[in-house]
Amino acid sequence: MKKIVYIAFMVLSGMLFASCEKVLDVDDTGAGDILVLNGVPSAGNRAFVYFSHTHFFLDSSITHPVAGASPTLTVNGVPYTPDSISGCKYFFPYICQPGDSLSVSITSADGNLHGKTYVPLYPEVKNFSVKEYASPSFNFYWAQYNLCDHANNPEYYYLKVEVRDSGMRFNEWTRQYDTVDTVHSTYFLMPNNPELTDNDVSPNAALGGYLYTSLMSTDRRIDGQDYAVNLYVLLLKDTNEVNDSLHLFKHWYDITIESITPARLRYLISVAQNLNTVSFFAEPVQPYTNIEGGGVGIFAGSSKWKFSFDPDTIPHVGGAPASIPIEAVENAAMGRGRP
Amino acid sequence: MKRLLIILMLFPFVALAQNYTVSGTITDAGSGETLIGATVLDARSGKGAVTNLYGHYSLTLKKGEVELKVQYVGYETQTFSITLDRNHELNVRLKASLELDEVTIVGERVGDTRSSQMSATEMTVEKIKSVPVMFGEADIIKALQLMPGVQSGSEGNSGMYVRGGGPDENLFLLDGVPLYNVSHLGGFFSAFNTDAVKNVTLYKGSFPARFGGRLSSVLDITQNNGNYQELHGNASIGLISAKFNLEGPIVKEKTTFSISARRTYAELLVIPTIMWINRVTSETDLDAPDVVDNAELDAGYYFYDLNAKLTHKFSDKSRLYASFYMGEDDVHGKINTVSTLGEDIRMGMENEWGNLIGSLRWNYALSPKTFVNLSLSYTQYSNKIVGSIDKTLSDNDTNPSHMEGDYRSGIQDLTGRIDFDYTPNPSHNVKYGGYFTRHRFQPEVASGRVDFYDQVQMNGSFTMDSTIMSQMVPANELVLFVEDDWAVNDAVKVNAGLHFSGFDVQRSFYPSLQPRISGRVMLSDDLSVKAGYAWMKQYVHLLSTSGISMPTDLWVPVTDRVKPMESHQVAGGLFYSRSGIADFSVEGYYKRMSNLIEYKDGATFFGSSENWENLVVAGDGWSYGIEFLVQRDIGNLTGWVAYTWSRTMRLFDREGQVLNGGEPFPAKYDRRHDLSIVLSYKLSKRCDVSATWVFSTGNTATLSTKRYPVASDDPDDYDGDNNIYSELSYMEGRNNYRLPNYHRLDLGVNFHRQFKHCRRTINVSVYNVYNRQNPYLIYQSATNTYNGYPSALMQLSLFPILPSAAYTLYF
Repeated sequence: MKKIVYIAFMVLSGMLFASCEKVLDVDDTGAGDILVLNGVPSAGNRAFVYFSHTHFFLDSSITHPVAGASPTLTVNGVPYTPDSISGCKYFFPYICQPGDSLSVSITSADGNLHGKTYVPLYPEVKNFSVKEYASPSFNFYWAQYNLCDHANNPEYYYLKVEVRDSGMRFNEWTRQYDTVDTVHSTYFLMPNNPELTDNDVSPNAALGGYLYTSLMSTDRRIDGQDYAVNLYVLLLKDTNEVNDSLHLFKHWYDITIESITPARLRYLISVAQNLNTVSFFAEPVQPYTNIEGGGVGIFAGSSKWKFSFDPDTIPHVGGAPASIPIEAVENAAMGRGRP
Repeated sequence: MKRLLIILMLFPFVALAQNYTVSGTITDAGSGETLIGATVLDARSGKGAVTNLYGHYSLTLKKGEVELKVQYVGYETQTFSITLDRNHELNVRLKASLELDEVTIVGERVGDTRSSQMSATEMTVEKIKSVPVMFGEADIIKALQLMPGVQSGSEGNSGMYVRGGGPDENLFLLDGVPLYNVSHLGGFFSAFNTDAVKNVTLYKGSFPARFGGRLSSVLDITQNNGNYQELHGNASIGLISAKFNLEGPIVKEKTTFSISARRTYAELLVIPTIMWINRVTSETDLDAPDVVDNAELDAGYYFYDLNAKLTHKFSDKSRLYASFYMGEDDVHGKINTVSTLGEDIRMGMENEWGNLIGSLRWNYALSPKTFVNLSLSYTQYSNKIVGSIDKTLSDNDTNPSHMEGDYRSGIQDLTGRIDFDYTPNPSHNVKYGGYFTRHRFQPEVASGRVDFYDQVQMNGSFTMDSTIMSQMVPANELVLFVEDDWAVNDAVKVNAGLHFSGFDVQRSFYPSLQPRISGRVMLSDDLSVKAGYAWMKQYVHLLSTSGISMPTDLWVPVTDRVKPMESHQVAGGLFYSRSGIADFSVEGYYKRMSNLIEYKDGATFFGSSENWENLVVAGDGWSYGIEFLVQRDIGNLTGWVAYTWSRTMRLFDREGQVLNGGEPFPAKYDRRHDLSIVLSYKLSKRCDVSATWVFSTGNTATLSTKRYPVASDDPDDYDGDNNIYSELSYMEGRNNYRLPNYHRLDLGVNFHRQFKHCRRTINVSVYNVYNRQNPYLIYQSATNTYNGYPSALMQLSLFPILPSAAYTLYF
């Protein structure tokens, strides 16, 4: 009797709370596909553009070339045509320099697109140093540097810290060691830099608005100044990163400061919102575009300054100093008030 | 000459002195319950009156012999012959009619052919209970969603979308007190227990001047007063809930009480599932870490409602009512487990949300022509989420770690109100009055506490408290109104009024004078044409996700930046009543709305509500449609057929507040066609059957079917190297996609049996008889394929075929 009641309850519960799924028909003819032009001319790198069209969202292939495309890149008034093509990528025989003025024009049977941009000056970074601190709860790296802004040259900066992991990592689920080779962003904090943090251009604030995975800021408050920046990169201890003679695991940290144009700023903000998978209930954001001719994408220059460090080589400052930086990190991590 | 002048000056008084007033209360002879909408008609002059919400009527007639007929549907007509030579008080007790013969209604109910009110529906509890519903639980809002112009949000949702308006644009009144959250179980049930309800009236347009504060509808629900004669009640048990209702006299003929309660036991139904999960995870060797092997899960959900009312009759002219309502939902979960570091971990979460209402009202017949109602009421909606994590290393652990978080939000209103009902003569019924409300909005309070001791890695410990609180926002609202229901002549009747409201919040004061007018012209005894106009303003907004009712939805007031919403609605229609057959109506409307708010692209309710104004944009909307209704309320076959064709659009193109590129887009619940067929047939005194079939075009959704890569300065990123490659969605337009059509058949049968001292009803019903997979939401799935593609667009449906049963005992 008990079993019958138990089964009846299971069936009833299953019926009550069961959900059904069905595949929906969607138009996959490609009608209405739009041309895409992407280009991020970067100082010190070869100029290239990516030209394709949008593809059906269920299609997993990532190359969709446009037949008969003919791009022309004009740099400071001098035209260039591609000297090599790989898939949808068109490479030009030119190395971009800060201050270059560029325009691109692409003609094809499916349509013609145009874009204009410039390559901003390098961010000027001086006196860069990194130390490691240990606190009761976190280990973190404290990077200090001077950001020297160019006067009379409105700029935007894109700061991000990425971690490159490689080696062997213990998998708690499989109880085995996995080979790891990934690049991912990590959290950082800038508590003592209100001129850089107290602005509304960054969409990536989290945990009370003080921990970032990337930060975009303007120079409007530091324009022309030699500005001291404190950057705290958080490291949460992970006991699964075993570093022995058999399972060597390494982090490398890449701190990148990029000068970007206003168009790239708007684009990066819209990309972050468009890709934000946390906002399941939010209406998605249309990515920004500065492409003319009815297409999408972005053509916007950048110049990067990059510092990579091996955490094992960073001088360790032990103990728990009672100074503000430590509390600022912990308080910010807990979402408690501004330091 | 002087004498002539004196006579002429005195003539009006002489003329008036020839009229006298008959007034009183109409009640049910068996229970003493007041009857709303009963008619008192003088057969000789043809003049009549209708009882108000408190069962009171007033009819002024010329001196002389009058023959008064008192009528109400389902009751025996009574006739009184009176010599009207002074004001008379006539209180009538009507007996319920055993035979539901065809009754000629010469009078009017809200929204019927003769009434000046259009765009309104009055529903009896019996009519609501005749609709087969999910889990056998009769639901007022689910029944109203079957009327033209009223739509549900999505499968199972008890939200109301009336003539293109959102779910926050409806004013729900329970005995005159606003209710802010009317949903249980995420919107699958409403907060109204049908056993506690006497009368339900829905206004969709042409709003009388006494109503205001919402753009799209007013749902006016009156609770039972109680039985003045004997103790009666009923108890019911269904698939997932049980309820009881008890009413009776405390002092016979003087004081009565009514109490109703309902509770679900859904948590009992999931116990076997949870036991199964715990058993499987403890017995099965998954070669997984200890955290899964030893996990113990416990979860549950319940809701309850409690309605109570006390009525005291000082005299036939004076009554006092005390009403109370409390309802709450609770969802909770706990998991106990062991971490890989050997720590005992206990995690728990609980979410409670609910309403509390209290009101005190006093009615008094000031004079034969004037009736007054004074009331004081309180309403509160609150939501609380609590979570905690505890970690201990061993039983002897003296330094356990503890983390807890707490989130609360709510709204409270305190209102004082006075209403007058003045009937100077049969041609006019004037209502006037006002109310003052003190609002307190508490959008969000979040606090957290951490006591952390890292025993394993010996990294030290710390304790901290944190509170994030958005400011409590007080606001004051003053309303004054006057309206006159004026019978110009036998053919023409007009209801005209003015509604003044003033809302004071922060540093802003928003006054508004809103005209309202509706009227009807009788083209024949059975046929009338009506038209109406209403200007409405709304001072509160509900911040919520699109179409999913969640307890975290926040009520926020207008501010300096976010202006009051506004609507102008015109409507017109034809109404025909074929006596003994059915009532027919066709009605068209056009509604223009402004200062509507929507979340910006990319913004959601997640995050602090302190800056919610920065997350929304303001824009406009318009909605128009045509509604057809055929309904029959007498005979063995009753029910209705309702069809609506409508279109609802939004436009957000103000500077800095652009959505969809400044182009118009369909609203979330824009549905072109909506059809409901509800039929109930009485096979015999012991058995009746009912059926409901609904059809509607699918809701809209924003779906991007085009992708392209994110731009990068590294060419290798486009090839998928460095694990960097990612793609953007090209947005073709807001709400550009139409979900598949929705349709469903429900069947129900009631078996009645009369015993010596009680009777019982067994209800058996089936929801979604042919197991239609109606869309609830859509998503992209990588585990299904479509036309050779490695992923597919999936539709999730919620309810398959669902049989249910309920047993009710009446005593």
